[in-house]
Amino acid sequence: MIEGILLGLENLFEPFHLIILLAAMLIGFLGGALPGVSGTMLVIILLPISYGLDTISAFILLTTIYAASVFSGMISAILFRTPGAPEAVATVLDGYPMTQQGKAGQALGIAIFSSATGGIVGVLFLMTLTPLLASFALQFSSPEYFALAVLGLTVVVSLSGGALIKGFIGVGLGLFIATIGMDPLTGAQRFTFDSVNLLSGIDFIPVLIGLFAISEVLRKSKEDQSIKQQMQKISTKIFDLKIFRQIKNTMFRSILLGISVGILPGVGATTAAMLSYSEATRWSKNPEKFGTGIPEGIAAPESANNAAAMGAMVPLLSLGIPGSATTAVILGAFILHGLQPGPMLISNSPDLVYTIFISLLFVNILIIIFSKPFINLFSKIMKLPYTALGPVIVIFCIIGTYAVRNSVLDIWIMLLFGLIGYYLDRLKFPIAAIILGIVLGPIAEVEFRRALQMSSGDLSIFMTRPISAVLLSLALIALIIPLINKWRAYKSSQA
Amino acid sequence: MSKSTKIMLSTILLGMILVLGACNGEDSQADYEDYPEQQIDVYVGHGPGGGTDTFVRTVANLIADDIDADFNVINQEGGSGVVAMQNAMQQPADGYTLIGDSAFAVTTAAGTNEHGIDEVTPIARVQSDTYAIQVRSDRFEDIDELIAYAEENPGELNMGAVGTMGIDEITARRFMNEAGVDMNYIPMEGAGQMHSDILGGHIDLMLEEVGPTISYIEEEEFKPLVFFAEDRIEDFDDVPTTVEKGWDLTDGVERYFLAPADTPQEIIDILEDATQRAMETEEYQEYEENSYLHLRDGWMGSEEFEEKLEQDIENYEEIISEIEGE
Repeated sequence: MIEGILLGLENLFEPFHLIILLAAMLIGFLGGALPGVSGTMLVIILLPISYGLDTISAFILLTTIYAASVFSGMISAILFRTPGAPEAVATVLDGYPMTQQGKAGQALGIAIFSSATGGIVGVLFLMTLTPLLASFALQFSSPEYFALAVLGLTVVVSLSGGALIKGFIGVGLGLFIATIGMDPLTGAQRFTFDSVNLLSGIDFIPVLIGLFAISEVLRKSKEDQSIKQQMQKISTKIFDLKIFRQIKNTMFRSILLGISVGILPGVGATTAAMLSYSEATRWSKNPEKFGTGIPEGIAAPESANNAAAMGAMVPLLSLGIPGSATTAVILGAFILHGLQPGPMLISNSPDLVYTIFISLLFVNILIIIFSKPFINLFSKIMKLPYTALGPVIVIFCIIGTYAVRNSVLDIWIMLLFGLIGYYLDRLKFPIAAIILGIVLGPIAEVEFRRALQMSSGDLSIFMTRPISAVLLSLALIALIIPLINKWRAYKSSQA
Repeated sequence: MSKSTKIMLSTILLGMILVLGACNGEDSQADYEDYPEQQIDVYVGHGPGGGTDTFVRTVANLIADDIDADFNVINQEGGSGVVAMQNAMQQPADGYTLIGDSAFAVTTAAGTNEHGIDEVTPIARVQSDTYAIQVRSDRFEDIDELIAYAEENPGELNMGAVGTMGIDEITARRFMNEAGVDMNYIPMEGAGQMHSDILGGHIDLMLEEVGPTISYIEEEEFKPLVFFAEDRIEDFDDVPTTVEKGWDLTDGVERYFLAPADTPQEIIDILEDATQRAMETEEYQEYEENSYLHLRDGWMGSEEFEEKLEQDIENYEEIISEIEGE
């Protein structure tokens, strides 16, 4: 391995490769920061350019863009309540409230620190434990994915604060949205009203942008803009010992969770971020503070999504199995470059694989230095009067939504969810619960039914397989404990 | 409403109009000699990174070099290509909208695709892939052992293939019928999930081409048990074919370009020739061999392929009504 690392370093420090790394980081960073422009899209756009490069340069380009785009989605999520990439969805929940409290700089600092740490630890796992992690990932099939999704869904209890009923309605709404479209297992049409555009379902990104970004623009447009806006001076401090002490346990758990979820071929970094945010709420002593703008609420999803993005490289490099949309495109690129992704890639092309490892490591380190000037740029944008900034945000949201799959209907869906989000906000509705339902709903449904097809309809498949049995038992405990606590509280109040 | 709010709302409105306006492609009078004068959109109904998408991007890239064109590949997943087809058909038939597809005959026969063969003109077929039944190497020794096991334990084996009511599922079900065995059909979301389920031992066999799994086969992780072909495949002399086994099953996935039917014939000709030249390039040949797409001759010109599609649609209509009748 040491040999491989040296080989990787040698390759990366060729001037041309370094230039590619820096350029790719810049592109990925900017793309990730813009809503609607995802890492997948950037990798696809640059695929033809990569044909013209030698193999090593090509994969430094593609994997660096991937890593950088997962990183920067949090900037607009924190500053404008507009997740720049789906992976940053959970970062909105505590990041934006901190901005509203005038602590945008602190929020960004926490996000950068957690992202980079998550990414670096993720790469170190990738470099040292890939074969072991890959064999763990292979233990997961439909019953296990279903159990994982159920465990994630039970967190609605802690996510919705005191408003449990609203939380359940929210998850229900999210699950309902996830059922729209063609039934993935039988092909039957569900709630499509014979519209071909709805066949492929409601895409996650328009809903996300609508619920968070558009609703916020609507809300702000009701405010009196003639009052001089509070000028936020954003000074970012990336490492703060006091905050680090506060978030270190959350980060530790989230990174491990992020890697574990990331290596699974069936789920990606967005799910990892959402699950990790949920788990942070569940483990916290003060779950009611989540959503009001606390450092743990940023550290959890940001360290998890970057760790997961690195984790997704494990099945790609060791088995040739893509764990996400972006890694699927990178898999295609391997083939176009005449390489055979699969179990032999690491032993056949160690120079390439180790160069990828080393460049991923460097991106995660370099990005700490490079994010400061970008954040200064973004914070200048914050000084614009909202009468100008609001419309610009809306236009970016529209372009970004359209760009996802060239669908005009998606724009209308996004605007509709903007209105819905606006009214739900006013009702103090936990929007996180809806997002939880949309992210985990399709996994839970499809994997449940596929598992039953595997067992010819026998429900015991979920309890006879050890991983799924453990996950489902945890889910059960997670549901029962709050009830017991409530009952105890009730009894002691009676006594 | 304050003045600034009004300004803001009208700016939002203006922005929306501008963006929505820009979303509709502009009409242009095409002059065939100068074709192409603008970007050519290719609609693909499958996700980025998959077999159909890789085919479109590779070939489009080569055609682009040849006729100095600029291609824009639009991925619109859903309904085995139906969504992309529907959206492509709403664009003007001026040669700047093409469709890269692999499931047209099946979706048309199944009725999910409403735009039949009268509404499209094939440009050319580029690839004709070969299915195989594959298992994890330690699961079954050969096809006879698999069939014998399935006969003794009806409904126990899990057979994976990608998607629902596409050519994969139909071929998988035809295989079960022809071989006279009862297995569970497990629709997979993608090839990656299927390979990982085979490796993990969660499903027993899969319907898959050898291109995507060749490195597993070389590592002796996977083993093809039978090829869906008439003659034995070079490189796999010891693996029997369906025809040898007495099963009438040789269809595979075909990948091709279509254009809306009203596209001027001159443009179809230009593209057909360019596609053929693209396939003859060294780059394509290399890609074809790396991906094991060279097992069958892929090329079929516009007219010949149109006839084949018509025939295929008829055949699949019959097969689907048989499957649904059960």
